[in-house]
Amino acid sequence: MKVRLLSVMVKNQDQALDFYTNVLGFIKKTEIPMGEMKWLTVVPPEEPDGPEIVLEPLGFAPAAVFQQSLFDAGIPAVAFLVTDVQKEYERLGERGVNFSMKPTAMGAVTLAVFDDTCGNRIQLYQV
Amino acid sequence: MTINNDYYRQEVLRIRAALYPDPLLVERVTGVARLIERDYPARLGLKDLAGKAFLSRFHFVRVFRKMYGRTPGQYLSSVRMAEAKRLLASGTGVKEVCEAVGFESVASFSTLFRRMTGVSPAAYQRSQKHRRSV
Repeated sequence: MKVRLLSVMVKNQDQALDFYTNVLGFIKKTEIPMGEMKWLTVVPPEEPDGPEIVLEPLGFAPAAVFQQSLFDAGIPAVAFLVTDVQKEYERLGERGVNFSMKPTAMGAVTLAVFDDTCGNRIQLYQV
Repeated sequence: MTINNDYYRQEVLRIRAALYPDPLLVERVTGVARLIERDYPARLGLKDLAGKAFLSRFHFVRVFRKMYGRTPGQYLSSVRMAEAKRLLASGTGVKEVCEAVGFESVASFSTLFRRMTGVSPAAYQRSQKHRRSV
């Protein structure tokens, strides 16, 4: 078995594509129209052939409840590895990204959490 | 238990206070981890590494494992193997890779490589070459 896809549920795919590409800096990998929805994936520029993030439409009501509960508690839906959390915090802060947790040392790792504007908290971590 | 939008951050801080109450100790041990990542080709003995953290060998290993989930020796091996994989994938010969990542004998390098990746260095290199050509 191999890991090639990671789903992130989003409230609006177009808005998510804009945030993940124009704000975070990911690259659109695949966009295939599928009726009202689309198969939409992005990858980080540092790892274009690595696992793809599926920006998945939130079409299942119980999933929306789950997502909202995580969001309300400040719990990240997913985590991305970075080389320098502080730098990313500053870079994204300049782009208007809202952080619910500033860079925080936790043993061997440093963590920070931001709002992806699509219904999720995203954690950045540096080892 | 109260759940509010600060719940996760509060939990992180609570766990940190419980697991890592001494920031200076954390700083010393992470400093040694950085040293391992930088100086992995050199001969890095446990006594010297523990000394860098101003800790006894026993205490150092215990704290390191608590923070990184593995011993300093295992951490050093993982750093060396990651670099070995990168060099092998770039086409560097097995003997050169062995020396570049701090092993004195190809046999011990190959044994550890196989144990950690499941394949020999040469087989790994072939698989990467095949992957690039597909």
